[in-house]
Amino acid sequence: MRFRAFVGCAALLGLIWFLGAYMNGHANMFTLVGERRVENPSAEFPAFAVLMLGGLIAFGVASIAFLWLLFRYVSYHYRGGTRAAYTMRRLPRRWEFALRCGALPLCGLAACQICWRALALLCGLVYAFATPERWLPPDAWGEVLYLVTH
Amino acid sequence: MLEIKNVSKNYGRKAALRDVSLSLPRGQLVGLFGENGAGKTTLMKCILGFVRYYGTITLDGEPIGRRNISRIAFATSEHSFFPDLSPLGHAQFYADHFPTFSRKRFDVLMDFFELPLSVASRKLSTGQKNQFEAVLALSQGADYILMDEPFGGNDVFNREDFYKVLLGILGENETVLLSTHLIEEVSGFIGRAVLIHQGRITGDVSMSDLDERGESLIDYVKSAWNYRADRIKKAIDELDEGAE
Amino acid sequence: MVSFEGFRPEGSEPIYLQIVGFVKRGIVSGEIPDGDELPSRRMLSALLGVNPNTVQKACRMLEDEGILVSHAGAKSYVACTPAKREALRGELVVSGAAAAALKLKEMGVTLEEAIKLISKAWEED
Repeated sequence: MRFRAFVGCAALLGLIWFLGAYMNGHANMFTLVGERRVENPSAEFPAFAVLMLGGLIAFGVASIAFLWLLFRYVSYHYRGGTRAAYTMRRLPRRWEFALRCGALPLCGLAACQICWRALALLCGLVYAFATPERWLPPDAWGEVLYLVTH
Repeated sequence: MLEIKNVSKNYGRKAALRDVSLSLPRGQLVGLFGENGAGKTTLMKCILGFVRYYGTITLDGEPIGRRNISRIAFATSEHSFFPDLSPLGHAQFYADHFPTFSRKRFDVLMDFFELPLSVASRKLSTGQKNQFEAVLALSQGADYILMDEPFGGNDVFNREDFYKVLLGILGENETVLLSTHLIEEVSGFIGRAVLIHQGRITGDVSMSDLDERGESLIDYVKSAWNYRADRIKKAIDELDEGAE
Repeated sequence: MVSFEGFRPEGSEPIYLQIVGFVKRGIVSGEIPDGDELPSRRMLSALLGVNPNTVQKACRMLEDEGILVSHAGAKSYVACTPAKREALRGELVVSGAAAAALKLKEMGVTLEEAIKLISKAWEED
């Protein structure tokens, strides 16, 4: 099913973005002093939100794609020179039409929601526990949780 | 008995149906005649529950709902099948959803009309599509079959065949409500004629009564619509005057 | 089995009367023999493209006139004794003549002119 690919891609992109941003932020903590990398005291390590948000764009795109899919499914029943909607709307199984059009898109949207939060959590773990503490704001983990739950 | 009582339907400010009442018992073949926009399609949509309306429509006393909707079938000139699905696929779909679907009737009719079974339905010709639409409606196993101008694009022999096979295949308890412009053509086929004009029922007569009165269906319709043959003379006169 | 192949509905006469007329003419001409079976109502309705009630009406009329007999099992048979056939023939002949006379009268033809016309046409055939 293609939607797994959608969500999978989004996750992958998100991860790559985060890692990229993280590495970038990491690198920015240092400046060159002569030939040695020294910590730059005035540089700031980016906040988690800043690092992560870019990576989540792909999920936004995927979500929009699912909504578009919903629209496509519904409009299929009004196109092609026929109005299959007339058949769908008079079936004894009342919810068949809604199910046929909505099941996949809704699952996709749900999967997006779950995946982005899971990804963010994962990256948050890296952020909060693998980065040197002195670079992080006081409640780094709290920041992570906040992002994941909103 | 399909009872339509005091049904009214407005689309915005336009009144599509005004206080329409009609009773359709089992086993009747009813012709529904009216000009474009008279309300024929709207009436069928109300029966099927596609649109909201004032008034009541009941099937054997019950409102039309999920439990009895399969007793009503629908064939429309707009076509209501799935464009990418083959006729065979449709048979499967109908069998899944309509407990009374008759695969036998489906096969017999598909064979009679010589329709291909395994091509996508959008690839059929217009005439074939009309026939296929009718086949589905007739095979559903419904007690009331609503047909909304089902013959657009079919030649006269096609249509004649169609009436005949319909008469042969319908059981005595199956009701057909057929809306069409072809008044003369269906006058032998139907047992009852209902006229609708600007949303109101303006005529309802059994063909048997017309026989007794010695009145033809066309004459009945003409008088109900106040068809004025003198309009033609008047128009021609006016044109002649202008030419002089 | 009675064949309705030659049946052509036309004009404004009610179809059930036209069916009755077709059967009667068939009996008189000999095409429909005594004892011939009539197709079932449903079959006849489908063959002619005519509402079953109309067929029913025609059959009932034929039964009332004793020309059609229904047995159990929805089968109907033509029942026409030679005497009956003669009577029918007489009926049709009389009504045919009446129709022709009416037509000529409507055109203002006198009786003598009518007789002359008919004799001439008779000889020419």
